[in-house]
Amino acid sequence: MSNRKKKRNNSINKCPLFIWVALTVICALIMGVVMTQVEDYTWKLTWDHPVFAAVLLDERDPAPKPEEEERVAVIEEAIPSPVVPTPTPTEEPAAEVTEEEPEEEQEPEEEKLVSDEEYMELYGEIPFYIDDGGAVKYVTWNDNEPRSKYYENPGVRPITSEYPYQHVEPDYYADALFIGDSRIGGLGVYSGWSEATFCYKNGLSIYNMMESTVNAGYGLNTTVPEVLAARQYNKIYVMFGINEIGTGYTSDFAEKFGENLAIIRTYQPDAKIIILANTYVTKEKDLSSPIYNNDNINAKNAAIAAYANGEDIFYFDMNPALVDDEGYMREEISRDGIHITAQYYYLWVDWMNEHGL
Amino acid sequence: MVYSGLAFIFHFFPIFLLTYYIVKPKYRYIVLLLGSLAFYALGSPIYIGLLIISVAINYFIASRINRIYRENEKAEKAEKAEKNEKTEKTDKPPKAAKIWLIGALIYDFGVLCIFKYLDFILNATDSIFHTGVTGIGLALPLGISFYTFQIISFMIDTYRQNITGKVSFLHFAVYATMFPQITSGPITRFGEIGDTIREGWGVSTRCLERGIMSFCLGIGYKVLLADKIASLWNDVWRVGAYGIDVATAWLGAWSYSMQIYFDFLGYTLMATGVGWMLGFELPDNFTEPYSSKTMTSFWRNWHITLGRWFRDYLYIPLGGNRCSKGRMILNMLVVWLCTGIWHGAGYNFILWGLFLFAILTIEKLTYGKWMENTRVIGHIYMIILIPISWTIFNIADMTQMSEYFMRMLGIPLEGMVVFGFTKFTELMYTYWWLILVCIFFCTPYPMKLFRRFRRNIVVKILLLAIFWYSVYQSAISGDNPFIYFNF
Repeated sequence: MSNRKKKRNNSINKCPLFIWVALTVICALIMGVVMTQVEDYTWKLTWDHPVFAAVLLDERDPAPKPEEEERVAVIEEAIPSPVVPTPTPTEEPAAEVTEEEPEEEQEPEEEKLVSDEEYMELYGEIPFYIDDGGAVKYVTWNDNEPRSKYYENPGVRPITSEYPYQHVEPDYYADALFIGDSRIGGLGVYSGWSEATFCYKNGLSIYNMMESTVNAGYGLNTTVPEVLAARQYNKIYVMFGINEIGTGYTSDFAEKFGENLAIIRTYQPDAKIIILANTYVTKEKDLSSPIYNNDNINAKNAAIAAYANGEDIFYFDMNPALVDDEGYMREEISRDGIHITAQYYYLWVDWMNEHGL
Repeated sequence: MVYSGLAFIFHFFPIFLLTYYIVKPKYRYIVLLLGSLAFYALGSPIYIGLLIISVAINYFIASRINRIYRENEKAEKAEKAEKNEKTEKTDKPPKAAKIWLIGALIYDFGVLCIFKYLDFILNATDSIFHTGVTGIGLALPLGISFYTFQIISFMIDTYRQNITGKVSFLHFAVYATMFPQITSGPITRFGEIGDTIREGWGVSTRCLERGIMSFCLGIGYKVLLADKIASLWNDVWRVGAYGIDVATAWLGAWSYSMQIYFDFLGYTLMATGVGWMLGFELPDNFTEPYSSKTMTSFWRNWHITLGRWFRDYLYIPLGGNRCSKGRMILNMLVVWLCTGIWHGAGYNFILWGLFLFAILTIEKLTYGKWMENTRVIGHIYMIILIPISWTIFNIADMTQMSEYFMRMLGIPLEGMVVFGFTKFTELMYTYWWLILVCIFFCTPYPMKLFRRFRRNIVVKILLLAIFWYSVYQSAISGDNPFIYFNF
């Protein structure tokens, strides 16, 4: 070995960590380039979150998923509801939009995105809520341009399923299970419904809710399926959508939502499932973010509300109790623009108490 | 662009580093300057002009000052030759130099005031005198507090003639804009890195290894500790003072204290790591502040380069402690008020400065020395004081701050409802392991272990794992755990 080679080897040996880091970073970069070139990269590819592609892609473009048909089949099997597989006016905006063909998708949408009155004028009747015991109704929402390219404005807002609701006392929630993110955590601590079961985790999303360890009162030591299998509940409230708001398209979210509803149903065949609306954000938050704004939240709400059938799946929109005249969450009830501060949870709680099934 | 972000790690830095190494050591400062400007432009594109203007103006003034000194020296020599006798060299800087320096200070502090404090001052005067003029909402230029202080340090050192050798404009520009430290320090002096900038430094493998180790450690502190414990504080903060009991209030304050420490320490480690990889030795900013026994020693170990700046350029020129007691207290008041204001424009920062002044003065005059020699009491004292001081620092709204302190003291708030299942239990169930880990990292032991076993292969593998796990965490949280995840 020549002296020069020896010297080089010596200097490489002197900084192993640097060499390792440099080599792995280069590998990651190359893999990222290759994977983006072959275009079969999705966030759901074998690794949950491929760092390799993440470092090269500014946008997280979800590609079509091969197992899509299987998923729909699962949902159909578990929830024989006509609402899920058939496209409804609200599901439409959430439909899969690929980068390449936005125009093709938009055309039919604009035809269908109409207020109830207009819809009735065009088609005579609205197929999925008349006389069906209280499936979801939609009212007009604004027609703002979407502020993020991952969102479309459905133009309508779902409202609470129609049902002869009754006033209830806290003990009504003794056989209720709440599943969700930090907002459900807050409800758990500040609702005063001590007999209800709250199953949550900060940052829990519809994509990881079945695998993540969650808090059901005593720390992150259980999972949602475990809680579901432990006993039968009468009412299961589900609230998801804010942590997913920066990830993927609304259609992905809605699809996964349906899938998870189906899983819940398999564990709890007799329970009434209540889909809780995502609460709106404050005006300050709304205006400051292309992602965390009420238009996007409404798009998610509209997509998941379509699962409600008014019989065993309901949609609850408690936002009217929390918003100001303009439809934003009231500034004084939130510090971060998203979560309600402790002393104002009663607004949500009171609304819920008026909506006993 | 943050050092722990994917754009920096995977795009900016590798390209920069490669270019930096390819270029001859003598010209590396030019690559560094271009890289720094690009870094700044990516982070704060509208204010890059402001930075360049500041650098140019200050360099112009510095060269004026230098010229005045040279002319003075010449005149003195001539005088000496004429009189043919030994005249004593005057230590006093010439008056003209002083005027130029004052001009530079007015410009530098003026710009800082306009961009950082104007809104606050306008709003404050409006609320007191009802002037009707409110803030105009100027965005804060990236790193302005840091680079202004660094530039001022250069100006004063020039005035004091502490800088040896010639400094070209580009050398000065590199010093003022260097990307490893422009966003959050450490505030270096020209004397510390000037020679490296001017002469160029062949980067040795030892430097590379040291740099990458420091960087990996830093990213771990930032992403795996600071960002994680941040969600605990977030959890407490967002429910508000009405939803927490005494224990939760303290837990929240402690978690914020840990967050700010890990965050800043992580950033500094990454900055010094980047510095090492470029062949610079940037000064230390933290030396185990949380194991201090008094506030005085805490501030000797916390943000050392800022403390040093205030000591050398403000406290000592004011007379330091070699004067009457009354004067010394006044000097301390000025220094700590300035320290408070430097950290941000808001009443809470002024209050925070005053709080530190009060504690430090009391310590200096009474129990400080005694406390330093205790074994346990000093630590307990600091465990109570540190969260109090960071709570003042943290909560900008005075009402919210006072509510929070009322909860820390256990005073019930008006109309408060007590809930059976407390927030504290919930938080402890969720975060107990993280709290334990964070407490361990507040002690000097992790760094001691690191220093002792830094050559060990296991440590290197561990650091590699920390690096990639941090990258993974950054990737899935979209760089920002507050906004994207962890609700």
